[in-house]
Amino acid sequence: MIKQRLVVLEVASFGVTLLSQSLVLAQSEEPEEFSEKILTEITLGKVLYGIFAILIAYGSFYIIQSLANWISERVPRRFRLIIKQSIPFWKGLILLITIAYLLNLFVRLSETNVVAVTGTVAVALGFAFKDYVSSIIAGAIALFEAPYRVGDRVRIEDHYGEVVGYGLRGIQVKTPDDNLVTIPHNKTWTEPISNANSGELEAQVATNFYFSHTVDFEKVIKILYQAAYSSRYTQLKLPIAVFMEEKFWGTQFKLRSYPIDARDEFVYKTDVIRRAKAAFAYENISYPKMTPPAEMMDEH
Amino acid sequence: MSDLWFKSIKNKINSWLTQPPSSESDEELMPIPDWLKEELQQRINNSPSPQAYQTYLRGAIAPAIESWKTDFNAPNTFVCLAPTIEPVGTILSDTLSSWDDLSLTIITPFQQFERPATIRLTAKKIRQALDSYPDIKNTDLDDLHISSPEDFQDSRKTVVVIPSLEQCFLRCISGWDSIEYFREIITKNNHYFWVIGASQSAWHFLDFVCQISAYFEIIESLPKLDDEMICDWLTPIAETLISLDKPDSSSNDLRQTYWDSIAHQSSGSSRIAQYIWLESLRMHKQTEEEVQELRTQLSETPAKSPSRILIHPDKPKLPKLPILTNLDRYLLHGILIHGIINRRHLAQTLGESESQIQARIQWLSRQGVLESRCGSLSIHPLYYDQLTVDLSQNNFFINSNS
Repeated sequence: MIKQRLVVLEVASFGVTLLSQSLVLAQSEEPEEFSEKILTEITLGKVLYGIFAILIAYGSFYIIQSLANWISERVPRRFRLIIKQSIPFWKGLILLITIAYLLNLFVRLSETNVVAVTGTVAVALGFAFKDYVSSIIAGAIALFEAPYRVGDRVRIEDHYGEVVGYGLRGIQVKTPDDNLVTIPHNKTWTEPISNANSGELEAQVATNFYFSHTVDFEKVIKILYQAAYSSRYTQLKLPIAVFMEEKFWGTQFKLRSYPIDARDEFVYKTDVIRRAKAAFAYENISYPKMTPPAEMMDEH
Repeated sequence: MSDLWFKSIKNKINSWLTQPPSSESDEELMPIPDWLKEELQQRINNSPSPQAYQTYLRGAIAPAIESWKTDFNAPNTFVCLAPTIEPVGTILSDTLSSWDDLSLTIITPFQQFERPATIRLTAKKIRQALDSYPDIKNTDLDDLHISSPEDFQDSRKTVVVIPSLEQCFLRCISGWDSIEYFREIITKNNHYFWVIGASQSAWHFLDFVCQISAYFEIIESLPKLDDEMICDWLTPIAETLISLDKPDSSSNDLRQTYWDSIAHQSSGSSRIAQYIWLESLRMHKQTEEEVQELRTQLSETPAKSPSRILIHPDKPKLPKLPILTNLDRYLLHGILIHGIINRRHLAQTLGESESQIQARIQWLSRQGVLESRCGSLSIHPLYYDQLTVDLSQNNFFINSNS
């Protein structure tokens, strides 16, 4: 994975160098001479080859995405994220090969021409597709910084869910409501990204319980620990902790624990609450009866 | 986790490389009929557990008891851990029944102990089981003090056996309060020596939830059986009913590796070994009538008669674990922790209704992964090793010694 990233980084740094040089060189050429020297003879065959290459690349994208998703859902859990995280690399590799092939087909790839073409393209893109390019560069950088990877559970702005796709321009996040939200990579420049599992299978789940100030807190804490320990979803190898906080209206207990698979987060929370509530009912520990504040009523 | 992974790969390679040729060609042989398999199975189950286990345990328990009798502060417990599929209670019972120290009294208040329908009553059931022994203090444990060292040797003459600790708890809220109660009883009754049998998976779980290992000093695991041990255990039992086609020890007969392959694939477990061995037995192809005739003949023929059926060994191999769903894994993991469990308790530990899990139980039973006996479920020994590998690869906590 590190080697793969280094290759992409080298390509990117080379591109940046060429961009800066091209601005100077592109201005020193006459336009007509420039186009004659820079382009190869364009024939119908070459155009067909080019279209064919683009179609193959597009098909490969689709096949790799589908195949990786299909395999990752069928292998044991511990290999799922490894397979999913390789998708951006394979897509990047196909993209690089396709671009190189098309350039080789239509452009005379001398050192001067490479500089001139990249410079011209960079200027054009810089004005016309600034945000698009910004997203692409942010996506390349995100491959190394890894604020999110395919399979991670992230919160970006108001959107929370599992990263299921990593495209050229953005990521696709599947929310708990089963909506697919596309978020451009350039959000990484400006927005904080909260990642719950950072490439691991487990992600911490915090479950809140509320009682009156006079509750037998020792009993509540014991039940909460046992609720987490007894849930079939709990990853016992990771720490389980209960925290208390005093509020003006009562006492808040927060159970922090990890499910075996971060995907089970909501079903896990439900299981823990079910178990705990049954035990509270058995022990005659009741919840405080109160009217929730207005801001809580507004929450969905 | 990686241990299990490597173990499964090693076993696969071993099974590929091991091809004990029978003295007969494959076309001439067929699997032994079910009635013969069941008869052999019954004879194995009714026989004492492997001598290798008993010898090992005697060697481990004897010094612990000796130390407890002579040293007031010596630990009064011995824990024997075994894979979930091993009948550790029976092995302990076989070991202690032939105990040569006649000054010791061995009591088994928990011989037929099963989880009560209402799990919160487990501690009460334990207390009731101990009520027949007034010397064992089982109430007001908080007010009790450990007996003083004076004349302690005279009172240290009894061994209490807890055959399977996994039958004394359930993975649910308050489900292991009984284990904590047990812990208190054992600590406060140091004039008794406690021999405890438990499955590795159950112990591993209890270690997470109530740090049980911290309270017990002497914890031993059952040894792994090698090819000779398995052969010495199974052959005499089989020969009370059938004749085994044995390899020629004077030549380079490749069938010498047969028992070695069984030992490898069973990971040294007696229960897995007995099932692999039974599955590898073949006999000459016969018509249905001939098989029926054999059955009649076998029931009439004295055991040591030379006219017994000749059985040929075939390449021993484990069946493939079917593709499991996530619910199957949670369900099997629950059974792995509890060893033997009924549907009601299984549903309770999974936090589901019985009807929700019934369909998967039926499917797993049909696939042969689950064994059902008297309404209780357990893992079939042939799938045990593959199941532990599958669960560990799917991020379930599995003790690598399992």
